[in-house]
Amino acid sequence: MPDWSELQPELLALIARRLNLIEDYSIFRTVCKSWHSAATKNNFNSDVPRVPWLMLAEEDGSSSCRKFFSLYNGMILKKRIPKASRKLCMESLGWLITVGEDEGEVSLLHPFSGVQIELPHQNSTADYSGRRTGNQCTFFKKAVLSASPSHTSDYILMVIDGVDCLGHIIVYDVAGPQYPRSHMVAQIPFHHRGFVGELYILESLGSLFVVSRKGVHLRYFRDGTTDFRVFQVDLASGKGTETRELGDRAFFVGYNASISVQASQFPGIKPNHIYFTDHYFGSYQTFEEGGGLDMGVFNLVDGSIQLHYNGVSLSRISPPTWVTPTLY
Amino acid sequence: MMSLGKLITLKTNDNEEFKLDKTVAVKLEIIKNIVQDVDCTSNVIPLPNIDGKTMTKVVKYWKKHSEEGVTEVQLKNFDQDFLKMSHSELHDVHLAAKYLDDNQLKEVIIQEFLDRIKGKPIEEIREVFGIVNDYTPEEEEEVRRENAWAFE
Repeated sequence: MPDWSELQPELLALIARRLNLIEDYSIFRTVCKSWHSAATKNNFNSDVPRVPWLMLAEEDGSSSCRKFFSLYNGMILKKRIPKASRKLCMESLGWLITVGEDEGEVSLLHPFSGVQIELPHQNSTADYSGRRTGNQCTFFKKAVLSASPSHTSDYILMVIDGVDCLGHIIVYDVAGPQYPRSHMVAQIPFHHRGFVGELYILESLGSLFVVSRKGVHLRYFRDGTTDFRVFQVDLASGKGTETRELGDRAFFVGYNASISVQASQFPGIKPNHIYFTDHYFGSYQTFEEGGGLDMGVFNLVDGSIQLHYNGVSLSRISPPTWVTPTLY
Repeated sequence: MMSLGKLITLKTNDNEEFKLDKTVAVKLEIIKNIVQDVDCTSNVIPLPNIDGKTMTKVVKYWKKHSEEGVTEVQLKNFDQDFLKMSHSELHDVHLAAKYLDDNQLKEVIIQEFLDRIKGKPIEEIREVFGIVNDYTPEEEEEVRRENAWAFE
């Protein structure tokens, strides 16, 4: 009987190189010391698409530890992220856009490498005094990166303070010589204004989708989210058509999150489903316990909603958020 | 270079002989290479790093995969059955495939190892592979706490 901790190092390295999922890789390197030594940084394949993890709310007295929940195997990974402590966190391309609760300072923070990039304070925006609210965290509601700062210094962080609820898709030309100009490129057929709810827009496998989520603001009376509708947008005709068939796609939506993945690439992710986190910013502030209750996974075929994370993770400032894990 | 007869004989380190039909052998690039590399006048090729038990498996795999008219489905079923072996046997076959420079067989073995590891919890992997945990509890806690890619 050979000693399996002494597998030939070359074979171990070959195996390690082929374990693309971070979850499998972490387990592999914890089995024993010789397996650990085969699981080097170089043997990890960082060049594959990743499915988001659920970054849970900061726990009291957790010494700024954040937990990340994996839908693949239920693994919970802990990571000390002091720079995210007591900050609103919005994710884009694996980076967190953090907003300080008290001072409203804005930064880009890479949760796993700890790299932080200070950004201009929000009070440097035009008309800040006219549009500021009592809450430092609500000055802008969405933020999105044009490229990952990990790979290039040529990136733009675009912050948006409102969404059109009339079903117009608006394009802002930020590269033009003038102050950003806007024009409408498509119209989504929302027949009942009341339905609209929260809106998300996402690009997936060459198609553009608009997702509308109903029930987010009903937290006072009931559980929250009740239904989703998905519209595929044809930019050529400027029209959106409702669909219940996303094929292999799975969507991840939530506060500042609009992510699409190919389910077949990720064991444990269901195709044609929408994974959602609490989006009712009002609830974060309104309820004693904060936000984070309105989470689940929506089945587009039968309209049912099930849990994805079984625990309870609540925060008044930064409830659970989808974060796509990246190496750096 | 020796001349190819009708049969080629492969001889393992425990003196077991495997006669491979030339029609099977010539389809295998690796045999051709060995034949070219080995300076001998007979049709016997010694395999000093492989034992008979392992070579039996390798030859079985080669024969099936060079069968006339074999279908994809048949090969898939064969592979599934072929891979029902212990870890140490897999390990030996991998070593043999490496020595014989058979990339396809190497790939099949690695894939099987991956399938036996993916999605399994640590304790199960240790049990299945018969690995004794050589971490102290403190060390293991430290490794578990490490970020997945906070490699040193």
